[in-house]
Amino acid sequence: MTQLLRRALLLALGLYLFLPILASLAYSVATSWTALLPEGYTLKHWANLLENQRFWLSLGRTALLSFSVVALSIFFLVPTLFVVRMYYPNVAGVLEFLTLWPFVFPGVILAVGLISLYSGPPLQLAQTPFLLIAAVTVISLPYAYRAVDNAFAAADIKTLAEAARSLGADDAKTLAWVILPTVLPGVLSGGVLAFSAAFGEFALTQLLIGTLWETLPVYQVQLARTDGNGSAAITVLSFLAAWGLGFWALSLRKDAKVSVI
Amino acid sequence: MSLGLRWASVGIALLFVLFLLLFEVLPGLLLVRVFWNDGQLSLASWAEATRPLFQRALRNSLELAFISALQGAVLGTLTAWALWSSANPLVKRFTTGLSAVAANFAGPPLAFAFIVLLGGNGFLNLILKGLGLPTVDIYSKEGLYWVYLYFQWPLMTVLMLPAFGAIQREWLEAARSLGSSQWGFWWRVGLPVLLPSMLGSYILLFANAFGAYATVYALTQGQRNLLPLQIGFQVGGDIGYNPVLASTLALMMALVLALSLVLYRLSRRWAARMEGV
Amino acid sequence: MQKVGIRLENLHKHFQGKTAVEGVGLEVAPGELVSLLGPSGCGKTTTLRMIAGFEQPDGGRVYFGEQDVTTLPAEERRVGVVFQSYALFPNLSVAGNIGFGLRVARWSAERIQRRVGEMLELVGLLGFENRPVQSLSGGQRQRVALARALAPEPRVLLLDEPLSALDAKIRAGLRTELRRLQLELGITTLLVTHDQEEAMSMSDRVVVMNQGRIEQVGTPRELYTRPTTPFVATFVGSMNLFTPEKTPGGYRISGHEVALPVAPAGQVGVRPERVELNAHGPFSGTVELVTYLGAEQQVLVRVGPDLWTVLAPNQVLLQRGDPVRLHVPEDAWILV
Repeated sequence: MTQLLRRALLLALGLYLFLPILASLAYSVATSWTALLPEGYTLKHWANLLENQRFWLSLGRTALLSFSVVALSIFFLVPTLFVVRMYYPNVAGVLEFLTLWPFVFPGVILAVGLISLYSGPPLQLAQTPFLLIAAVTVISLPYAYRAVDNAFAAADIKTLAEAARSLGADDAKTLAWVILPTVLPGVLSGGVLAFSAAFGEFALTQLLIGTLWETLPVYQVQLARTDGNGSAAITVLSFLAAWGLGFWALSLRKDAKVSVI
Repeated sequence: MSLGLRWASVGIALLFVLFLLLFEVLPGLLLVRVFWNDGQLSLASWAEATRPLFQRALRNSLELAFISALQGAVLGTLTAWALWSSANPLVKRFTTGLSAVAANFAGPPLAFAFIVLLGGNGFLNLILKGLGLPTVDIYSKEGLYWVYLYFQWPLMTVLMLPAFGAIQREWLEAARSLGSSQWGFWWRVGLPVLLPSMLGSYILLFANAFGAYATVYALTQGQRNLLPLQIGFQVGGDIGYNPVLASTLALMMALVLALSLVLYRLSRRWAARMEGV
Repeated sequence: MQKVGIRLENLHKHFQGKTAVEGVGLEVAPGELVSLLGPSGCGKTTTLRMIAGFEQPDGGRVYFGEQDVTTLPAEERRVGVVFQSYALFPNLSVAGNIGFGLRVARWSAERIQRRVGEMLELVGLLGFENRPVQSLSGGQRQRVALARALAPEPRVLLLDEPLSALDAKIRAGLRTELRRLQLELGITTLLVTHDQEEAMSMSDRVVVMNQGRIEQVGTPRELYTRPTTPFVATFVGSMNLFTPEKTPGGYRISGHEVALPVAPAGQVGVRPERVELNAHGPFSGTVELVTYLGAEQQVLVRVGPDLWTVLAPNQVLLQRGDPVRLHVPEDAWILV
């Protein structure tokens, strides 16, 4: 009885998570689909999409956005968490608080605040990719922060540093040979998570910059009005990217724990 | 640590704080400027933001978040239980990973995937029609629940797994040796222990649906009276550009989310007390 | 309380192709306390779990008295189980935990209250009724767990490493208390432990298990003085163990001729406390290490190819490198 319920639940979840993608995949290669199964199959929609310059440009912008967010996150988080863990453990609470901020001020609200703050001098950043990159970094911060912070916590860098110094390593060597290699998988995992979050970002992009600087999700919304099959192809690509990145990030961590907030 | 390394890191950390102030904290805090008009305290924008249209938007958003979180919570808790009691580590790992990814998957790709599945000519709807069963209208109020369930269900599953992890198998065995059935154990011990975590996770799901913008925007092209969509309308819409109104509505939304956060933190504290044996 | 014994017939259990328990047969008399002793992974816990009903045996039968309980679900067996991890329900108070089985059995509220009171008195925790279990120390938690297991008057009591999570001092105290309680209630009890001292000090009989099988069953004294296998000889207490060589005049051990009372089939051993430092002893060796133990000293002596462990009185002053001679009384040799 419980065995049956258990299987049914897991099967239902699996179906629920896979069916939409499979349907999109089928739709992206269907000639026409009005009965139970598509009438025929074709790669035409994919070919159209891949020949479309707008698609490549939007994909390029999305990649640029995502890589910038990852670079910015790592640039800020690694040194900050390093000094906090090493020298100022009592300010950890402040950092924790700042990463909770996006919970109360999610994308839509942040966009409103940013627009009213940066529409005029002294910092007229509205409708520039720079503001978007900053905003998406803020929104994806909780993901990256958790992963990097867990890595520092698990490494117990203070003890590691003491051990390395007692063995005669100087400070630069301690950092390069001991601390960075230990936290690297966690940092990488945080980077991948931030990348994934930035890759799918829509609310901030649409509100801050819209079609002026079209990213892949924004382009998909435009495309869907005229070409459902092409949009389905983008759906498939987005799913693949999210799942590839997600499983990559998970495989970088020894514990399979996932934290959301 | 050599001073150079340490102070360089401190420098970057301060830069980080400045960055967060500029792009995270100030944009949020300065929303309250809407209550100042020419240097005077004014509630004019609040009056505008509580017009019946926006009251309905708030009510719709609350209802959507409330119900979709409830659906996700029930299914997700049951699924976490199934994973907890499953003896197969491969199934466990795979489902956990899948759920973790799907929990964060939202926005246009998800919306369009569901249109292909449950739209007017959606594949599942064609099957339902063929079987003579009622079809699902993805653009209706109930339709949105189906889409949100895609991330709410796995999100709850992922959130509840650690809570189930705190339930020791010996507890179940102890209860059985004392004459209790499995159901009796869950009723008398399992559920009470899980309750704080369930509540906390439910609040996260609630906030998740309440603040969601991308999925519903892509699904309906913004044609739905929900609070996030109304806010988006006021800053990016083609019809009206009204940053003051947008800020006020955003403030209203932030208040609900701040309250959720407080409740969430309280439930976490309760859970820690319960599970920390 | 009705007293029943436990009888195990040829129990088998495999986990994913690995044998956990292989052909275990055992009889526990009503009111007896029997220990299952062995290293981790020897099958002792699996055996207990099959008796409790948490695991189904792949073969063999379990009897309580004359009743075959092999297929009876755990909740109908009326066993009391105490776990190493206490397994107290964190959402219930002390009284809630102890009364759990009584509420399941639908006792009336006042009977439950009375019984819980009796149990608290029995384990010395009167006044702790309303305390949350999180506020208790390890020793107190295990007392509550014991009271919870005993409250519904189980037919047998199963203790799975009940003292292993506790500090050494508390462990010793609780050990005697557990035994006293068990004798007072006369409840048939099976204790699983990896701690030989615990098994020896608490049990009527000890079952030594290794690799899923029973090595030897006996009273603590029998196991110590007459181990029948090398495993038991070394696992229960410590033992100098040798493989003797046959010589025309007798046997050679550690390069010295000795006379043995009986012809050994396999190995011979001698307990460290039975080896004597004696200037006329046949074994000559050199002291390698002296460890002061308080009441006595443990001396490691190199004799030919072997290292002997000797327990010697403290009066003899020895240091590393001293030449010594050892003597073993004829009746001290143990053949295994």
